[in-house]
This record gives sequence, structure tokens and C-alpha cells, in this order.
Amino acid sequence: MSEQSVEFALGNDYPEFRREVAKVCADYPPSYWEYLENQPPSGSYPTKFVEALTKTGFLSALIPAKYGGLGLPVRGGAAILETIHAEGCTAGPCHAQMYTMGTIMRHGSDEQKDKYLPQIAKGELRLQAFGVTEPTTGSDTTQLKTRADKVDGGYKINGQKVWISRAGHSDLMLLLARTTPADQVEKRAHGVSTFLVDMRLAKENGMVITPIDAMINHNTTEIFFDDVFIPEDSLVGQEGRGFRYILDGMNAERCLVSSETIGNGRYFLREAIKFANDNKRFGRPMSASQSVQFPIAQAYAQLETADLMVRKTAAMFDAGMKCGAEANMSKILSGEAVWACAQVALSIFGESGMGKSSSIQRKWRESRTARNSPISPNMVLNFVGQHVLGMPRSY
Amino acid sequence: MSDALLMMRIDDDDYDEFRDPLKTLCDGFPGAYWRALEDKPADQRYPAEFVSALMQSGFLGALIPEEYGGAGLSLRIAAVILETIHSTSCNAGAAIGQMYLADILVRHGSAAQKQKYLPSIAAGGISFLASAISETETGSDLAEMATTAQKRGDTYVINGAKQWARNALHSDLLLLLARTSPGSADNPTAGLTAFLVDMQAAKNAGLSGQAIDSMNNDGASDLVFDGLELPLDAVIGEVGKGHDYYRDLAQIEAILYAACASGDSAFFAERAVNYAKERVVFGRPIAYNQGIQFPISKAYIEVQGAKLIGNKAAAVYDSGQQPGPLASMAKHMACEAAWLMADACFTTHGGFAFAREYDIERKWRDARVMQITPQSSTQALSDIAVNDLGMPPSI
Repeated sequence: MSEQSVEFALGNDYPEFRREVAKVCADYPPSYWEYLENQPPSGSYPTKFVEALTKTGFLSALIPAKYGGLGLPVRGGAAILETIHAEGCTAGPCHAQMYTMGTIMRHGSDEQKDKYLPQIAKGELRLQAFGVTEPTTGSDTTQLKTRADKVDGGYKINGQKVWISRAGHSDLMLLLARTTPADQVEKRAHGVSTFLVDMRLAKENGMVITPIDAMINHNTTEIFFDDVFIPEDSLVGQEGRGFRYILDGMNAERCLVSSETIGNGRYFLREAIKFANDNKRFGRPMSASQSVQFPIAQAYAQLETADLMVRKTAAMFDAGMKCGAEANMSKILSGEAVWACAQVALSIFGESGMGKSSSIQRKWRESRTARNSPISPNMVLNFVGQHVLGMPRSY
Repeated sequence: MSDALLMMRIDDDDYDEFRDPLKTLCDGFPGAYWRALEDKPADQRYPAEFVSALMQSGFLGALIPEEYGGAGLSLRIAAVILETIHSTSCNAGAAIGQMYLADILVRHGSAAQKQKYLPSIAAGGISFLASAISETETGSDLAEMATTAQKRGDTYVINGAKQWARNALHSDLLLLLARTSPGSADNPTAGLTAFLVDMQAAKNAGLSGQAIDSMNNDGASDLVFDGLELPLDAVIGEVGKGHDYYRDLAQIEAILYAACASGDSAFFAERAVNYAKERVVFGRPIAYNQGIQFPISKAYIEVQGAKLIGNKAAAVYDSGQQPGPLASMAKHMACEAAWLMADACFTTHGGFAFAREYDIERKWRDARVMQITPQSSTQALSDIAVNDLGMPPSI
């Protein structure tokens, strides 16, 4: 396909979905999210919000219609997630339901697709957990230490994962584990396999999930595997090729979480502009001061820029083009833009933005995290330096 | 914004049919050509051979409709042309006016003006490179403009002084903005009128000019109008509407300057990456150092984002809509990104960045000035804040 023939829409695309999403979100005001944050990690999951969203079918946006999903392109999912965040809610507790299944769709067997996708589409099965990161290896993913050893009828899993969001609220987990020791493979990315783990069974077989108390309510956990048996048919695709499969899904993930970030930026700007226009200081609206107005305009310019990169990435992904560079650039541009929006909003609201009842401080915390995960900005700069600009690998 | 459903292509390095011949043309004007010009006195630095080559190439007639002998191309292609020029050692500042100033004649000129000037401008036989807007005392505050045009019989008599009129002493035609009647309280820029000045005739009849010696070879000059008599048919469009016309022109100008800045960014990126890969210090190419590589990668990402805003602004213009503050955003973001890239390139070159033969310092000076002229970053932010985000005027 010629690059030039691929186009993307400007402005409010998917307006009917945006309207529907906004309607759901209206029932979950700041007080709902504040209440959840005041609960211990075990009770802080936004169950009602996730149920309401599941009922709309929006979380199955990317699942093909033949498996019961909406069959939308990635851009459709992005518009939905952006709206959730722009309306003051957060999709973090459930967004993985939208894209984690991509690995099954692209690399799973027909049996796996038939067995899982229709139930995931209906929301009967929750595929919300993505077990990749480990405490001692972080972004150095190929060096992960969790092992999957072949045993009769399946695999035995041993190891530890960290920052696994929503694991306590998911039925299935996509797990990355080493099946061939690192010193016996040609390339560092080889010998790692992807598994679709039924967490309900795994919990009975020795898998332990511990919530992490964190500065944002993303229901993130540590997971310990101690000789946990999983059946043979958990393997996705070919053994030893799992790293590739995970990478394949990351571009869609980066595009989707970047659009949430754009949504948060829109929330901050809307609230900040309203506050600055409505509140008078020194006899005029706060927004008449350049110290208030210019940082808002600057943050907005950055957000609009990032938004275009996100749209471009989605258009390329949906057209089947390579979009690794664009997905990475979306992540860093949206992260920087939302942080500019978050900082200016918090500054303008002052004390009234810092109270726990204000969504400004909650989203400000959320926005800082968006700059670190799911990919470190340093890894994005590495990618661009090495793979786009042709400089040597520096790490 | 009313840009819903307007589609934008994902194009990056498209339009090779324009880029390739332009690169060949620009190869004839290497760094040494531009350095030699800078060695001369202020009034002898004009790149006459370069401008002449561009004029003859026909590229500068891109935006003039075919019925007047131009190429009738899109603003996006005009942007590609300028981006390409700036991606080389060249600078289009001396010639850029030829590309867009005639738009005021296309839109508002009389049939006689169109017939008399447009075909010659399109063919490069008459140069229309300069506008005289800004004044020493009032700068960007056009409502306070002090240059007057008084109607006396069959003539308008011009009195006043203009500053920073680029290329005015090297152009056959000049666009002049002067006050014909006082502005009103609710429209302080009303009463400004646009005139088309025949420079050859004017120079001996009340117009004098002097080149300004500045840190860039930008062809700027001071102009003094001392009783210059212009015929009535020098008026462009309606008397008193000049500011409205100029505002439309400034949007095109901003989008074209954004393209120049993106071209500069491409120049700096290429030079920075090549040098970082070749230069060996501490036993390895300096590109291995993240302290060198990351600023280049980061600036590159900002540049890619800024190019999208530029393309969006051009797409909106080419669809027949007014880009408005989007044009300011395009220029602002492109110039900010170019400055980041210029500085990363400068740092990468270390001491050699100062050495004139590398052309880094020359282009770096040019990149800095682009943040200020023809529209400053603060004006751009103000335009965005007031005309897009609905905040009160702060200037």
C-alpha cells in the first residue's frame, strides 16, 4: 500500500461512540474515584464502572465481529479511551481488555480464538493482565528470569513478575516466560514464549498475587510463581517466539494508552481554561495574565501535536504498515504534552486543585505515571536513535 | 474547530518530483556561497544569483493560479518546496515573498492589477519579495502604525518609516500597509490600507532605504517614506481593509515559515547524526554516548510532531478553510523544534560548531531568529489562546 494513500480524520471522529461513552462516564463523577482511592488496595477496583462499560460493548471494540466484537480499527478504540479520560474517568482498570487479546488474534490457534475471543468480547472472561516486567530486569525484557519448564502435559512456571496491573481482577493473563535458557539461544530475543494463563486455575496451583500500594489507583500487583503448572494448550503460537508476539502488540498498546493521555490533557485544559476565565484576580480574569495564558496555549499546542502523531500511528497500524517509530513517538509526545497540561492546571487551580476531592490532583498523579509506563522515555529515545536515525545501540 | 471529518494524509517524504530537482538546484549554492555573502558589507549580502535561479525554476509560482501563469499548486506543495530548500545549506528568506505575497493580488487585486503583475510574478520576471509592515516605535502593534497615506488629488502621499522590511531594496514590488483613516474603538486596525509600491519608481521619488547590519543575512532594511506619491491604482482591494488582507496573508506566511523551520531541522538532524557517528572520542564514536544521542532523538521526535501540525494547517487551508490560529501553532511548534534540533546539533559538534566552514553556526543563528520573525512565539501563543481557546486578550 502506498504510504500517501493512507489518510486519517481530523477533529472529533467516531462522534456517536464519544457521545455514548460520555453518557456512561457522567454516572461516575470525581467523588466516585475519590471514594475508591480511600479504600485499601483490595477494595479500590472500580467494579461498577467497569461493568457499565463492559455492558456497552466498547471494551470489545477491537475484536472482529465474527467473534462478537465491534470490529473497529485501532483508531476507534483510541477515540473511546480518549473520551473516557477526557470525561474525567480513567480507563486504566479495564483498557487491557481492549487490546491484550490482539496477541491471541494474531498468533493464537483457531481453537484458542474460538474458545476465548467470544467470551472476552462479551466480557464474561476478563483478559486484563499482561505479565512481562520483572523486578530485576525491568525494560531489559529479553533477560527476564521467569522460567517455563516443559513437563508432562504442560509447563511448570517459576519466577516473579512485578507491576502487573489488574491481575486481581482478571480471569486470564498473557505471560512471557523463558522456555530455553538464555545461554542456549542465538539471539537474546529467542527462547522466550507467550502463554495464555487461566489465572483461576493457576491460583489453585501456587500462583500468588500481592497488591502493590501505589500513588495511583491502577490495581497493580506482584505475582509469584512457585512450580505453577499450566496445561500445554496455554502456549500461544510457537515456543520460543514469544518476544516477537509481545512486540507486535505493543504498537497498538502504545497508540491506545497515548490516546488516554491525550484525553487527560483535554480534561486538564478544559478545566483549567474554565477556571482561569471564571476566576478574577487583580481585577481581571486570571486568563488575561500571560503567565497563565501562555503556558495553557503552549500545553495545548503540544497536545494537538501529540494527537496528530497518535492518529497517524493508528492509521498506519490499521493499514498494516510498520509503525514502531510512530507508536514510540506518540508515547513520548503525549506524555510530555499531558504533563505540560497537568502542571499548568495544578498551578492555576492552586490549593483547590490539591484537595482529594479534586480530580486535578488525581489526574496529575496519573499523568506523571504515563510518562514512565508502559515504556520508559529513555527506551523511546534509544529506539529513535538506533532504528530511525541509524545511530549505534548505546545500552 | 470545524475540522471534523477533514482527512489528512500521513505523508512524510512525499513529492519527490519537487524535492529532487530543488536539491540539485540548491547544490549549486553550497555553504561557501552563503559564507562569502556574509563576509560582505550589509548592503552587498543579497543572494542575487540564488534568488535568480529560484525565480527561473518556476517553483516560486507554485501558489499562483494557473489562469495567471502560475502552477496553481496546493499550499502543502509550496511548503514542501521551502522545506526542501532549507534542508540544504540554503535559506529561502530572500525569495520566500515571491511565493505568497502575490496572494493578496489574487484575492483582492483589481482585474488590471492581476493582469499587469501576476503573470510576470509567476514567470519570475517581476520580483515581489517584500512587505513593509512593522515600525520602529510600534513593532507588532499594527493598530498604532504611524505611517500615513493621505489622499491628495490623484495620488496618495506616504509619510513615515518602516523597519525590518526584508528584501525591500532588492524587490521590484513592495506591499505597504499605511493608515488612510483613524481606526475605531472596536476595530483599531480599520483604516489601514494595502498599497502596491513600484520600488523602481519610488526610490527616486520620496522613498529611501538602508540595509540593517544584523547577525543574520536576512536582507532587512529600514525604509523612510518622505512624501512618496503613489497613484490611486496602487491601492489593493478596498481602502481601509488592508489589515484584514494582511491577516490572511500572515496565515499563509506562518505555514510557509513552519516549513522552512522543518527543513532546517532536517539539515541539523542529518549533520548531527553523521557527525556523531564519525567523530571518535574516548575510543568510540560519540553517538554511543546517550548524552549525545538522546538530545538528537528527542529533538527529532519534536520535529516529527511539528511537521504534522504544519501538514494539518496546510490541509485545512487547502480544503478552503481558514487555518486561523492553527497556522500560528504550526509555525510556533516548528520553530521550537528546529531550535531544539539546532542546539542538539551545535552541542554534538562541540568546538567545530563555531567553525564557520561547518555551516552549523550560520543555520543555528537563522533558526533562533525564526522564533521571533515574522511572528514571535508570544504572538503565536496569544493567537492560540484568544482565537482558539477563548481566553481574553493579554497583549
